Amino acid sequence: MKLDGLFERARIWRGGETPSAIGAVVPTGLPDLDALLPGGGWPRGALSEVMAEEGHGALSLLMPVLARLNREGRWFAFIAPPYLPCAYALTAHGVDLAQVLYVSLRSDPEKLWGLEQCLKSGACAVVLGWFPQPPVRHLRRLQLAAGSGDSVACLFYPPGIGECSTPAALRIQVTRVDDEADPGRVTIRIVKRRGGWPCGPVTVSLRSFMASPECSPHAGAEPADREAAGGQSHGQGSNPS
Amino acid sequence: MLWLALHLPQLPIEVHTRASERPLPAVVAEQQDGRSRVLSANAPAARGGVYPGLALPAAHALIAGLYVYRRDEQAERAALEHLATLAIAYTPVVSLAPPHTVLLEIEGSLRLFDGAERLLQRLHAEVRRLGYTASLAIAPTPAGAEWLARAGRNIVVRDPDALRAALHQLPLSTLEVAREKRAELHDLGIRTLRDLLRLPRAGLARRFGVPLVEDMDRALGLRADPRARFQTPESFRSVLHFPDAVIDAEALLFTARRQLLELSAFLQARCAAVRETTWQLRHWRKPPSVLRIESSLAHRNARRFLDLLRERMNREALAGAVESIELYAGRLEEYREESASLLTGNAREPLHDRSLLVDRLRARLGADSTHCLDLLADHRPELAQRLRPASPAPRQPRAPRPAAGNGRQPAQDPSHRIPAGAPVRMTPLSRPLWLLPRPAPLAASGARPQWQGDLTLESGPERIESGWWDNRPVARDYYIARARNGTRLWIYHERPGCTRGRARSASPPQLPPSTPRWFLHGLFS
Repeated sequence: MKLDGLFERARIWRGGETPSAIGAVVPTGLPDLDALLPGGGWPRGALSEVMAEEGHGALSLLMPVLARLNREGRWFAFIAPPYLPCAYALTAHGVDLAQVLYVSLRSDPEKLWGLEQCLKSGACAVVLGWFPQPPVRHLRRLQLAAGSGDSVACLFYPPGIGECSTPAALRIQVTRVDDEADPGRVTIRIVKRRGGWPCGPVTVSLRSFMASPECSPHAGAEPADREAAGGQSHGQGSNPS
Repeated sequence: MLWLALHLPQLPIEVHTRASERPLPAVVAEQQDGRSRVLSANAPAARGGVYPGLALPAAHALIAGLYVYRRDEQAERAALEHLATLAIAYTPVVSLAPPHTVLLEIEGSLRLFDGAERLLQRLHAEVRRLGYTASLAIAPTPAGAEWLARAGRNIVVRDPDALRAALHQLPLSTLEVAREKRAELHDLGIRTLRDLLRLPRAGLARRFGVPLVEDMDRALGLRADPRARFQTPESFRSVLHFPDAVIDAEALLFTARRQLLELSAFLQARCAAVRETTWQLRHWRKPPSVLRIESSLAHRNARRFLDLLRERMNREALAGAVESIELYAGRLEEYREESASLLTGNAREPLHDRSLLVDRLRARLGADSTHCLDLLADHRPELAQRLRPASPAPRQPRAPRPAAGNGRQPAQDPSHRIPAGAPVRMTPLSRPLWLLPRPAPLAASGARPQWQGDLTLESGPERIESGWWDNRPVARDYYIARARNGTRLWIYHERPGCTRGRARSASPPQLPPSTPRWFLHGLFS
């Protein structure tokens, strides 16, 4: 009882509490993940970093954020993504295509410049950038640029970049779990979070994000389209030899 | 009626030197009585002792390295028109009084601009910013204002009596009369207009011509003085020459800024905006560099145009030193005012910010760097979307589109683009978030496709067989496959015999039907 009184008077700081100085956030759409993130979501106006193998669900993780920020009417900037974003899949995730800005760049200086412009402009709701390895020397500048806008800014790297320090507000690692029953399962480990220590891993299901929400490949009901495709059986060996 | 006269005493020389930030001593010379004389000298030359009327050899003797130009009346006229365009922001009634004066009727604008003095100061500052020396005067008659301004009296005169008093003190040189007649008047002992007005009218008209008397009547407001209104031209063009060829980008941008301020005034006068500006930088003995600068949204903000030009110059090296710089803006569009929110907190419309970002990216990184995605109604995945140059489409178009006949798409868009934001009823299909720009062939061992090891097919097939009508037929079975490391891929195999074979029905299928060709088309990410 006495202890509770102390806490109520806010004279004791408990490590698990996130400081109140955390800025605005956008919920991830995954309650399990939100619980671990300071403020309960992706930080706005600060850098986040996602380390993941390409094709392990890192982009799906961001889709609910894009869908949520549709109404802001600002750009979703894709800076030098490794592949072409699929218009159909984006629409299926509820993303307003008119706001998607696809910026294809070749050299690293161009990429950094483009990112910085997008972050600073205040015209982007979400800024996504892809790098083969963290631009360590420029991260601080990017973080400052992110601070002057209020975008959800996310950089993607391949995993295994080590534990180098970062000025970003958040760094997470996403790994796919090999699960036959649920192909969308990923483990998320929080490597750095502002106002807390590394934590996780937490396993969440991106199942609804992996494909269009209505049509997960393992969903019980077969969409009508399957039949139109000739009604072939699942799996291999169906080539007409 | 209250008239403001904007007189540019240095115009002949300023059209030549205006391009540079710190002009060197320069004069415009003209043949007078068989001798080259200085017509107009800029401030540095005047500081060296050169004045209008001085013989050119004497001017050369005073200042070494003096720049001498021939008079360019066409450029003077163009400059005057640009200033008249600028003046339209102050009043709709503007007229030219060549060679060096613009007249504004400002009676109706006094309230808006908080009085004649304020208006005068504001216009003066704006003209100075464009690199002109000006003297301004306000009087009840156009000719009176013009004379006062020409005499360098920066005064505001409101009633006819005060005008008469002010005009009385003007020297005779203010009058536009032939040189011999002026000398004759001078010999008669006439120094000011007061002396002239004291003479009997009939005699004066007989000796010096009726126009002189009429001019004075007009100046005093005793005679009607209708002026032709200035009409703004349909397009904007401004050329500035450099005294010495310029290679420094900042010096070019300084000049460009002056031109853009003029463009901005022009657009304001026309209630218009432009999307595209064309710059022509001329070089010595080389074809000119043409910079076409496009903005994704029509606007008339000089600073924004300048920003884009700067980014563009950072990206592109010029062919050489620049001798002259020309700005052209042709296709005018209706100007849409940026609307601010009445309630605080909900900031301004993001449309302009979005357009600004796109313009900057494109100016620096090239027009092919920045795109938007369109969703098209097609079954073939590579044709179901299209990249188009990025432009911030307003989310809800203000004006309803003109109804196309029998509900079809407008004729200029042959593909079936699905307008962004339109309610799309999606057929539930599994599509990966990443597509390869071009399907990549996969190795196969036996019937099993490979990508970093054997692939396991998780689901499929989804057959897409389409496009036989436009010579890009596809016949594919799509599968979702899992790689060893857990990556999920979207792959297909071409159905042999149907694919290209149908397009060229005579030739046999290229591959034996037993070896399916596998392709990687996307990644689930």
